[in-house]
Amino acid sequence: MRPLTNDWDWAYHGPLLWTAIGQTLQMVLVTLVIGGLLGLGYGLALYATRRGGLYAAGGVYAVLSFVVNLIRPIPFIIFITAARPLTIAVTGTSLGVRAAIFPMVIVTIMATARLVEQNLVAADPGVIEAARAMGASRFNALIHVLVPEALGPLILGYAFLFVGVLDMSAMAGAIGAGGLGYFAISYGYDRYNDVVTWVAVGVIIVMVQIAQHLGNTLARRVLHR
Amino acid sequence: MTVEPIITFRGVTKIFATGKDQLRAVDDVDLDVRRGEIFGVVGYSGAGKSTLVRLINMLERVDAGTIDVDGRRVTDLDERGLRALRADIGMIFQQFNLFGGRTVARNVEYPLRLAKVPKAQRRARVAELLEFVGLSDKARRYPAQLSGGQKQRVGIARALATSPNILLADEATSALDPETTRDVLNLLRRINRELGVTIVLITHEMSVVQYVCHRVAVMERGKVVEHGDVYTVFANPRETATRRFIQTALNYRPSPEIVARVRERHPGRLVVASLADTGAGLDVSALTSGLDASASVVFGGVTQVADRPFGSLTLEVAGAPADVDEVVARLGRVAGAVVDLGTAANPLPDVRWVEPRDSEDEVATR
Ligand SMILES: Nc1ncnc2c1ncn2[C@@H]1O[C@H](COP(=O)(O)OP(=O)(O)OP(=O)(O)O)[C@@H](O)[C@H]1O
Ligand SMILES: [Mg+2]
Repeated sequence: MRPLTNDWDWAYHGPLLWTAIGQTLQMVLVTLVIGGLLGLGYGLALYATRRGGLYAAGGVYAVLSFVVNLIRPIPFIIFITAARPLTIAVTGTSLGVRAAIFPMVIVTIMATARLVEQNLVAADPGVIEAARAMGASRFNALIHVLVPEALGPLILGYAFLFVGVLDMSAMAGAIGAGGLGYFAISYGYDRYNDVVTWVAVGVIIVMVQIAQHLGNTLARRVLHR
Repeated sequence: MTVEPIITFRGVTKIFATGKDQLRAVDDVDLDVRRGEIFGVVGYSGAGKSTLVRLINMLERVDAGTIDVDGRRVTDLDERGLRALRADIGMIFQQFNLFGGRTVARNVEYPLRLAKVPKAQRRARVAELLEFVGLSDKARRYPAQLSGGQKQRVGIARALATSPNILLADEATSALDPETTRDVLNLLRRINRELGVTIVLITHEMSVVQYVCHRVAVMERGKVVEHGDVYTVFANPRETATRRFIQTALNYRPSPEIVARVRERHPGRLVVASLADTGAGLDVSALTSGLDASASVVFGGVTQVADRPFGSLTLEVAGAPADVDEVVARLGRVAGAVVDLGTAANPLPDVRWVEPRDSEDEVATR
C-alpha cells in the first residue's frame, strides 16, 4: 500500500491510467455505436409513427414514446442497479465492462431516439414531399432523403451524446467496470490524492474536446452551407 | 379545336378535418386539362389551389369523385401504382425542395436512381438536363451555393429527369424576383413547346397567367368558379373574384379615387373603354373624325395577354354635346366594353369597378 499522499507517480499511476483510459474508451465507443444505431432506428420509428407521419400510427407512437419517457428520467446510478437482473440475463454477468455496457446501451438508445426524432421533425418536410412526388417509397424518402438531409445536426447530436455516455461510464465504475471514473474515485478520492482526480478530470476534458471537434468537423463536411 | 384531356376531374372533393370542423379544401370540382397546354390555377391564399394540384399526383387522396390522368384512374391506384404514376408527373415547388446535402447533379440524378436507370445512362441524362436548363457549369455545386432562379432550374431539371408528360408547378416563381420569374417562365414555355409537356401552374399572380398560360381556372373556397381560355377570361370575367384578380394584375382601370383626381384636370366627359378583341387596336383619330369633338387619353394602358392586345383606356371627350355622344357611341362599337363616367359636374359611377378585398379577410400569403 502506498502512503496517502497528494502526488502523481508515473511508475505507479501511469499504467493504471492507461488501463482506465482503455476501459473508458471501450465502454463509450461500444455504447455509442450499438446504442447510437439502435437509437437511430428507434428515433426513425418515433418520427415515422407520429401523427401526420409517413407511417402514422398513434398507438405505436404512444407506446414507443412512453417507454422513452419511462426510462430517461431514472438516474443512471439507480438504473444500473435496478436493471441488474436483466443485465445478468443478457450478458451473463453483473460485473465489469460488459455488464456496464448493457444498461448504458439501453439509456443511450432512449436518448438517441429523442435526439433523432427532434432532428427529423426539424428537418424540411419539403424534401420528403419532393421525393414522394418523384415516386419514392415512404421508406426510401425516409432513409435516403430525410436522414441524409438531417445528417449534420444528427452528427452534432451524437457528439453531444458523447458527454452523456462518458458520464455514464464514470458511474459504471461504481459496479466495478473500471475506467476513468473508477480510477478517479479509487486512487484519487478514496486516498485523499486530489492530483490523481485532477489528472482523470483533465483526461476526460481532453476526450470531450476531441469528440466535439470531430463532431463539428464532420458536421461541417456534410452540411455544405 | 377539340383536344383530348390529359387530366380529368369529376366531382372531386377533398375534405380536411381540423379538430371538429371539416374544411372542404376542394369542393365538387369538374375540370379538364388538355394535352399539351399550360393550364393556370389562380385564387387567393387558402382557395384550395395546392390541394387541387396535389390530388393529381395523389399527394393527397380524394374524399369523393374521380381523377383520370393520361388514361389512368389515379383515384383507384394503390401505393405501388401511385409510385409509377408519380414517375410520369414532374413537380416543382415554391421553396424548390432541393436536397441540400447533394450536389446539383446528384439532385437531378435522384429520380433516375428511383427509376433504376443504369449508371452510364443516368450520367448522360443528368448532363443533358443540366444543359437544357443552362446549368452545366453548376453540376458539382450544392443548392446553398445557388441563386433562387438557379435553384428552381435545378428543381425543373430534376422534375423532368424521367421525361414526364405532365409538370405540376406550385407557385414555382413566387419566391423569385420579377426578372428571374420571367426567365423561369420562359423556360417553362420552352418545356411546353419543345418537349410537349402539359403544365399545370399554380400562381396568385395574374401576370404569370397572362404571360404563359393558355387556359386558366379561378378558384375560390375550394370551388372552380370560372375557367376557360385565358383571353376570354381576361376579356369577359364573369366572377367578382376573377375581375378583382385582373384588376389588380393590370391596374389600367382607374379606381374611384384616381377618377376623382383625374377630374380635377379633366372636367369633361370621362369614358373607360376595355380593349379586348379590338383586332388592330384602337384607332383614336377615327373616333372624332368629322365631329366637333376631341378625345384624349387620360389614364390606362395596353398590354399583351395570350399574345393579343388587352387593356383599358380612359378618355376625356369634350366638344359639342351631340358630337360627344357620337364619340362615345363610336367607342362603344370598337371597344370591348365601355363605361360612361359622366362629367365632373354630372359624375356617374364605374359599374364595372370591383372593390379590392378587405385586408381583414385576406389570408396572408405567407
Ligand atoms: N394537410 C392539411 N390539413 C388541414 N387543412 C389543410 C391541409 N392542407 C391544406 N389545408 C387547408 O385547406 C385549404 C386550402 O389549402 P391550399 O393549400 O390548397 O390553399 P392554396 O390555394 O394553395 O393557398 P396558398 O395560396 O396559400 O398556397 C386551406 O384552408 C388550408 O388551411
Ligand atoms: Mg398553395
